Amino acid sequence: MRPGISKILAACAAWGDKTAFLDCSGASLSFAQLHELSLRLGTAFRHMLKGATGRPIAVVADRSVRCIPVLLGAALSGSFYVPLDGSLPEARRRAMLAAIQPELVVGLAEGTSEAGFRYISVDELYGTLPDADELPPVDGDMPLYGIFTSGSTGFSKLVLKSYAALMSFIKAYIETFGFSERDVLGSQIPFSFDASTKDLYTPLACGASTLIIDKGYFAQPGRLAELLRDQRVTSIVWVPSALSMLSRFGVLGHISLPDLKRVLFVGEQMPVRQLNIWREALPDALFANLYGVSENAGNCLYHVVEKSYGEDERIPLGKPFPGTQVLLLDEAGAIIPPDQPDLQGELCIGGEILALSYYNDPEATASKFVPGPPGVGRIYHTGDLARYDEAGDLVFCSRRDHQIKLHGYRIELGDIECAALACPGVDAACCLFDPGKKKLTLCYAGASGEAALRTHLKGALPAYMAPGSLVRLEKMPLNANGKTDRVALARRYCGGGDVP
Amino acid sequence: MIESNAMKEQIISILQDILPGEDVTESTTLADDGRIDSLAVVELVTEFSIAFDVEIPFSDLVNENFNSAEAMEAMILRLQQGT
Repeated sequence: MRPGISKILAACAAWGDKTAFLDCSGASLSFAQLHELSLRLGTAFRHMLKGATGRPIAVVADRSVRCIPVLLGAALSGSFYVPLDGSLPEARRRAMLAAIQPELVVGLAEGTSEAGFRYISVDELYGTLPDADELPPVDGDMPLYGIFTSGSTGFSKLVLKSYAALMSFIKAYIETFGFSERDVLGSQIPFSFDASTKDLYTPLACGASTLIIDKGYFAQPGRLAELLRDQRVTSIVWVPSALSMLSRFGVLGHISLPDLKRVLFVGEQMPVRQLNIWREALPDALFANLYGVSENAGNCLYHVVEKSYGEDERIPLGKPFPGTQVLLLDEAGAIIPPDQPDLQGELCIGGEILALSYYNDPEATASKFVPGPPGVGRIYHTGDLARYDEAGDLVFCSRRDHQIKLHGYRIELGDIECAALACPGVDAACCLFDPGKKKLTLCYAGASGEAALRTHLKGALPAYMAPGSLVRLEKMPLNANGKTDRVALARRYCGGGDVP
Repeated sequence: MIESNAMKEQIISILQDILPGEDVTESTTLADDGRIDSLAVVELVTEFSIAFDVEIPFSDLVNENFNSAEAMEAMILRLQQGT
């Protein structure tokens, strides 16, 4: 049995009164308090579940420090935690709860309830006295937490990940970027996304502090920058749309952020135009692209940006973190070596960071987590197509299901979107293909007129890639996970549902 | 410059497109309660720049200016007069 969550919690208590987490209401938790409260809640969960282990505890999370000991306490009690975003529509939260049937739903507000489930508010749990002897030994290879997949195909599954998988990533992450107890991390990503584990576990592993930033700040870029400056935030891992809030309105030119030395982005393609504004404003900071999927703990690839990119270029996904295996497999399942640039294959992930399984779904688990090529253990096929560049860095090409054939040409819909994004006044782009009518439709949002975009595309793309029609949208529709809702766009503008 | 009443109607129509199904006419807490989030702000800045020819500086991107259709109208009128 390998050590589990109790080990790191006991160890981080040695940082004592140093701040571990703080939020925008002014509340904070020291490492000693975090340890004590997690033990307290762990003991309370143990009593409530009467010794049952290996079952989910759902946590309806907000952006307060109060969430943290709930998550850790659930793990200490021998359960695994499933963070749910408190701002999700109720119907969606219900569907998620129904899918996993948690032993307990923990919320932050009193007086609410979750129909059909055992609900308790955090405040009702604090009365229990912490008793480490009552907590079971928890195996590091058992599930620590569960995250719902992005469900871009409309169906969302709960992926389970172990403490061992997550800590192997966190260790590599801290070593790669040199985090220490002097760092203050500014957390943007909701706890229901795997990417938030970096903000949650980096403090536990190296003594850094994490400021949990309220969602409301991201609609107020000036105040957001002032918060980062005043709290002396040193590192951020944000989604590109959050980073763009500071770059696109000129904030970075007016409010200086002298303490910010690492700017990492994850979750979607970083628009080069916005990245260039960031790099100009913070010439001494480190900028890096991170890549991962829900089926691994943390991230598997990273690329430190060391040169300027053109607006129609893609920032590489980069190279694997230490301890992670990332393979590029061709259609026959053979490994494409890094010294063969420009051969396209599917990104496949292996190594310790791989998730354990889909919860209660052995069939999907068996079909998605498969034996790798000889000498490689279990791997997960991401569905992302990539190639190596001259430097041996992996570069994203497209989603496997976004690659189409038109008039004999193979076309990556992502290439058309990329070209459109380089056009001034285009903020978001989504290209759709109707295989029946053999027609490309480009939907975009932004101030650019259709004629200007058409002229731009003509200069940027071969004629066979030019979209047949352009649709300017007031806003790009997003699915429940904040990604472009291609299904809704296809239904509306492309005459069908099953369009890539 | 567009007449004030027409402007407010246009703002409401833009808001209805961006926040379908929300009460955008009466509400006075659109930003404070998170209905106008960061994505909506980006969309509104774009739409307002097209409809009213104003560039909204970041110092005006604060909840107080986006809580209601009236607040947005007041901000746009102020910015139009300033130029």
